[in-house]
Amino acid sequence: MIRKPYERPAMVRNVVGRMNKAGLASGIARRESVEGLSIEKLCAEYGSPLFVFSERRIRSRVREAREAFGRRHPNVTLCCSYKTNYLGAICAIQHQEGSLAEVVSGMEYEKARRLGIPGNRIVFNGPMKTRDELVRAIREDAILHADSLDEIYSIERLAAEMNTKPVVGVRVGVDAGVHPRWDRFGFDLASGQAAQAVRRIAAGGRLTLGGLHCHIGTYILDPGAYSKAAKQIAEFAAEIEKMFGVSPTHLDLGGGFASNNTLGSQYYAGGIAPTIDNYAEAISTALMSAGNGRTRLLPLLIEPGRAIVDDAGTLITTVVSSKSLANGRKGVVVDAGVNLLFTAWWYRLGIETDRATDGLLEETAVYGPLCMNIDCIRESVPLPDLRPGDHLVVHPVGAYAFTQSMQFIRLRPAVVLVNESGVAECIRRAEVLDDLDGPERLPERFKPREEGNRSAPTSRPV
Amino acid sequence: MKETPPDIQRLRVLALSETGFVFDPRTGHSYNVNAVGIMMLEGLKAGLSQEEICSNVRKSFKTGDAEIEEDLSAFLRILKEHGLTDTRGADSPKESVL
Ligand SMILES: Cc1ncc(COP(=O)(O)O)c(C=O)c1O
Repeated sequence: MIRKPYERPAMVRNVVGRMNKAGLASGIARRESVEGLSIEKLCAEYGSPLFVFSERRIRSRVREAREAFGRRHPNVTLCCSYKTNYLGAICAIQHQEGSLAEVVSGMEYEKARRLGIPGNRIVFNGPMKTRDELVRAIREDAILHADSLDEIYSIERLAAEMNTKPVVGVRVGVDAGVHPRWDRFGFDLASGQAAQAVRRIAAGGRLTLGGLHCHIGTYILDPGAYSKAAKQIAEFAAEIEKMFGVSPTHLDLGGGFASNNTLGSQYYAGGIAPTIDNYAEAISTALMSAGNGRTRLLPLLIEPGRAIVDDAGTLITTVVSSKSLANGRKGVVVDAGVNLLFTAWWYRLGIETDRATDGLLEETAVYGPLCMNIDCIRESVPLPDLRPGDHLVVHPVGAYAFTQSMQFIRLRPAVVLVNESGVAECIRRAEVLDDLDGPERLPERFKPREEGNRSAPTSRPV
Repeated sequence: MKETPPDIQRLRVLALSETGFVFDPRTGHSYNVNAVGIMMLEGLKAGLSQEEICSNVRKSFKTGDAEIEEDLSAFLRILKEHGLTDTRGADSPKESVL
């Protein structure tokens, strides 16, 4: 028998999240640290709630994705999906790893530029691009993907005004068996609208054809959907070559890969997301077997958002109070709610606690601090008897939670990044009232009177 | 100090695959465990003594001067951290707070 090399026994939990089921066992693992740092100390230094991101996890996910595609395709570039998380440091890590920027607004575009990303490394997608945004994108050679004929017409007009011939790609809508279909974006392939858009670009004389872009949806659990999409895109690339004598500059299969989160509708916690390898295999195999020799070598862009950053983000929150609900069930109020975890409406977020327990766990509803009935992070999660000051650790929250957070009732908390040496760096300070009030203009007549003359502006109700 | 033997009741329900995938039907959690870990888990599930488990590992792996016994203790701690074992066995006395 060949003896294998010995490695110390190791065990890594795949997924954070708990089964929602009666008959609970006692004793859950106590969680005292996040990314190796003490929860207590983090909160003491940066306050609670607190978003904590792991630089190491982001880098390793980007590398994993890059390698998964790199092994199967000759020319792949990842793009950092800004909307998924456009905190500067989070995007900068991905840019350092070689990712382009994928933006869907002038604001995101400017954020990328401020990080030093040149226009020709910015993919500009989305259904709305203003005239100014388009002018800048054209001037800076951004990788434009048009969403509608009206947008193509606008770009043609700008091309004439600017006396240039911009390179413009198109977003193509394909039926990849995903429901609901994201058919409001781009040009439908089957009905001939995509071919019409390409004809306009290729034959209109004002523009040059750029890439073919396609993004079939988000949290797509079936890699087979990408095979279908990639095959149609590759075949379309070959077809337009025949029809119009032009070849796209690249193919872009978008994002949408699932992260290791748990959908609200799922019975078991986590663990159902395919690996990035699965997606890479589906896309590359389809691209390599469809189309023609030239389309097979076209540069490939991929825009994964949540699959890259979801796992890297954790939210620490503190218990404010604990109570019994009318039906006898347990509830806790914590200092972070759907203002920070918009994603809670969709995911069953994993929740752990730093409270040690040897008692029974009880199904507990976890409510946020907003004075709104909708502010519930989890309807039911097995938790020990929590006390004010105990912490809950919510994970994964790296994707969309921060960018979709609301400045509603409470200001946004600080965000720290744990760097590769395990040191926390503040990448966004906690907001102060001036961040909210700054843009407001209070008409003079509403301003409180000077000190010494402090009668209230309106009379007090009796 | 002699360590309290782990309560392996919870380990018994784990589903182990040779590829290192471990599923805990009790919690729905899944884990990835390396080959040495799987061998140790199998031994624990089967009720082998710690000496027997270590000797099996020595037979199957090029262990050199590795501290298998220490590593097994560390692995038991990992299992405990994951909530998969419990050293507070049913009949072991409750720790006194005094
Ligand atoms: C065009 C485009 N690319 C990439 C993404 C990232 O999606 P995901 O986070 O699902 O990977 C989105 C998200 O909606 C998108 O619209």
